[in-house]
Amino acid sequence: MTTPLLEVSDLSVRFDTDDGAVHAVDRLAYTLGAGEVLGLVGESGCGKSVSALSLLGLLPATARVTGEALFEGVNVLDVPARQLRRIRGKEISFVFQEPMTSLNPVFTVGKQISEVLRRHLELSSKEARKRTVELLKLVRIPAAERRADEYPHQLSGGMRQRVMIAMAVACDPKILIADEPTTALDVTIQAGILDLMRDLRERLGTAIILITHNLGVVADIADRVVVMYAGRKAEEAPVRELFARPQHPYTIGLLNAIPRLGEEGNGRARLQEIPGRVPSLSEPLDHCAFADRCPRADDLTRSHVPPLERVGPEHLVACFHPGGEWSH
Amino acid sequence: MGGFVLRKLGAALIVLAIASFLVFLGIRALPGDPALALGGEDRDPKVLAQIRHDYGLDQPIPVQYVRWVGHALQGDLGQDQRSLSVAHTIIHKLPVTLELAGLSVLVAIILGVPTGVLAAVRRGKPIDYVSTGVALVGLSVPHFWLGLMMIIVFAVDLHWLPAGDYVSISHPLANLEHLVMPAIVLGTGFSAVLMRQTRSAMLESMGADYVRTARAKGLSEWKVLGWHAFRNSLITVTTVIGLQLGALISGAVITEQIFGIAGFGRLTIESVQQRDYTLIQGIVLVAATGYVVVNLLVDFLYSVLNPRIRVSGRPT
Amino acid sequence: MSYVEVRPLGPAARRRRILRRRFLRRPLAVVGLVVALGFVIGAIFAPLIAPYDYKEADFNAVLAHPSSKHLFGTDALGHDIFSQVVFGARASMEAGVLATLLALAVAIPVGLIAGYYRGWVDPVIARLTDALLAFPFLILAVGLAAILGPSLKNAILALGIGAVPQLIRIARGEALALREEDYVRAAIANGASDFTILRRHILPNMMSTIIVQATVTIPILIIGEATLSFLGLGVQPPATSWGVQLRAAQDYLFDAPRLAVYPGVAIVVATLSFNLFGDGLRDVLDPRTQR
Repeated sequence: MTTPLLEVSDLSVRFDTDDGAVHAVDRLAYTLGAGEVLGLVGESGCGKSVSALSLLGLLPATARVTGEALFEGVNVLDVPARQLRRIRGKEISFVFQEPMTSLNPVFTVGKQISEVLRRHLELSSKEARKRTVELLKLVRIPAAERRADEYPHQLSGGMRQRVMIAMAVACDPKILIADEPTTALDVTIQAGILDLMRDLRERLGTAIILITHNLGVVADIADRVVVMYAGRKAEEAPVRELFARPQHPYTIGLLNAIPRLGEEGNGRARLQEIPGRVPSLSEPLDHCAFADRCPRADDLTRSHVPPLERVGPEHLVACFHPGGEWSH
Repeated sequence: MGGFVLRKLGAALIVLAIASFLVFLGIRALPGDPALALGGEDRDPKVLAQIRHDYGLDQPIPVQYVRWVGHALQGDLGQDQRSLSVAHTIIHKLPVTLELAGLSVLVAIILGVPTGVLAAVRRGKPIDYVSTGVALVGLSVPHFWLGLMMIIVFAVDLHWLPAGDYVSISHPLANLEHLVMPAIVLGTGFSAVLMRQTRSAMLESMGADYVRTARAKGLSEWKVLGWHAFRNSLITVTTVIGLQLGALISGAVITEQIFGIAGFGRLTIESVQQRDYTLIQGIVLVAATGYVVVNLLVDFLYSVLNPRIRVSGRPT
Repeated sequence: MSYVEVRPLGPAARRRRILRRRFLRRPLAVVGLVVALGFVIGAIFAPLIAPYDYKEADFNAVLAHPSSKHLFGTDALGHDIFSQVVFGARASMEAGVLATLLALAVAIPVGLIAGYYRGWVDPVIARLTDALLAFPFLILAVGLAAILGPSLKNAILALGIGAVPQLIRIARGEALALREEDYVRAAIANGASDFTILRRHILPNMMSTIIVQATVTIPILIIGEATLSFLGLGVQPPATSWGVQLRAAQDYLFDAPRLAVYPGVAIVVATLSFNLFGDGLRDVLDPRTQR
């Protein structure tokens, strides 16, 4: 078995705010192999973005990060700033969720892409310009030459996202972290972005961590999936396995909640929802985080933290009562 | 950009028109016979009749206003109590004040902007508290008191700098010597405001998503803050400078008074003390015009700095 | 463990408590509030605090140095400087507070109308405001003094007028933004009258910004009054204010500089306290500012 590209273990993130502490991520662990696409799934606020941002040290100053994230043998959570800066944008890069605010409004998009090229690859401005245009073409932006000199506000949302992707793959990173890359876009544009990412993965062999709350996107492009809930890992499995045999009640709930056409009750069956709300994260929970909303909750789950257990080849679940059926 | 500038120009002209009308009305609002006010001390009915004719005081107000504006555009602002051309007097005294104001703005920018940036970058650290504190005190000190204190310390006690007067710019060293204290006095309040605005603008851009993106690209902190963040905060800072100019002129009035500088500001005081209404009218008009013009320039600068305006003519 | 507990207090009371707690965590702001209140109370109870009447002249102790009899010494006519400073606070507080209230009384309705109704009213008001802004405050005050004659009343008027344009801008901005809020739109859709919407939705929600702005305007106007009086355009002797005292102190700059120090320091401290309080208030009320 080859050494994984990225090994995250015991990752915890706590925010110390004016109004108290927030435990956003609790002992998260996963691995990422070269060229693999890992889907990080969960609802808003479950800690998936925070965990990813912590890998590159991009969290605000109020964050306290503990744990280990070994990238090529180096713990990126604990490297000197200089080294981290060499990794950012070159070995591991990030695509942010909101392309409008994530691009600097006062510089042209070409300049912003060239910037990362010149920083890491030490290209001359002419070379950088050439490569920038190539990159824009790679991400399928028409009239690349002209667009490079335009400002972010002159581009549409989909194009801005492509620019962000171009910026991220510019230096051929080993890992690309994409945080909800399609959430801010129309459905039709979404498909195009996903296509692009699949294409890039094939061409460049980049490993991708895809953060999303959209299971459809995951089914489309991921190899493996990690489901998160309230800062903890709930379940992990290869994508087909997860959809075929989900074990954690939360995963099952998520899959059940996907609306489907026709079928039961002439398509008028109610959407299945997961009752209740996400627990407050101001204290680290000493029991199963999902207990309040789980149909299988009992005294055990309300008093102990479920450990991760193997329920199949490469399939892990953190649940005292895993298993179950769901119709698809 | 053309559209933006044109619109601002149009607005400026309207504002100027309103302002000049207000000035005009203000003088006419004086109790009593305007002819008496304009004529000074003379009560001779023949002279008064002549004044009435000259100034068209028997005409309806709008006509008077237009006449006045017409004269003003030709550079004729009437004659003051001593029968000297108002325009001439003003033009004579203006350069002094402009030099003072220019130096003060320089002082303010040099003191205020870097400090603001530093405080933002080192937020929460001692240097932040200290500079914010100093800025707050700077805001709370009246110009004229600061001037008095500085005179006491530097001129009376230490004899380093002269206590007042003005030496023409043909003697550059002496000129500067005399203007140092006034410029610092005038520039302090302004620099305090600038410092705070720069700090908050920097903090805002530092917290923006695009700064996070810049970091994610692996750029050095210098580049991230000094280039990406600062460039954006510059936009806000420019607008602030424009807004503060009115305060600068007010400050100049007092500063000149204290330091005995015979400039535009001092002229204002004297004109009030002497109840020289034509002069007052001219002064207020010039001040308002100056303000509008400078603000127009600032708007222009703003459009240069903010590509959203430059390229599509709209702020968002 | 269950969900976040619902507190027994209503939402408004809870918010006030959170704000109060946040404010008390800022020692500087609290100090500012206390000192500012101290000045206001001192101004009101001046006759009780000052050891002498400020007009009381003691020709035996002219330009005396500070002593146990005269805390700050005496001026050229034998007045006790400490008493003068205490009484001087009256004019300053009066000017600062009254002028601000005056300006608010004009600016809030005008700004509301401009921001809420927009249409043709807005640009007109905007141009008028800009035109007013074009007159540097002091020149405006000077002009007014020329027309109306110098006095404290007229100074307050001039100060108020000077403060109006900026306050209009703020009120207008708030009204403009609040107008787009969903609950306002819902109220409009439900047929509420304009007046009701303004009164119940818009006005209360812009109050926090207005209050902060008012707290920050007061110190500016305090300095303004001092400046006008210093130039002879505000309070007229024998009435006193810090500005008047500084004006008199000018003649003795070389012999007794301390005559200029005391009133000046009083101005600085008073202004500073209001500024600190206003800053703290702004930090607490505006969730966007981080401190």
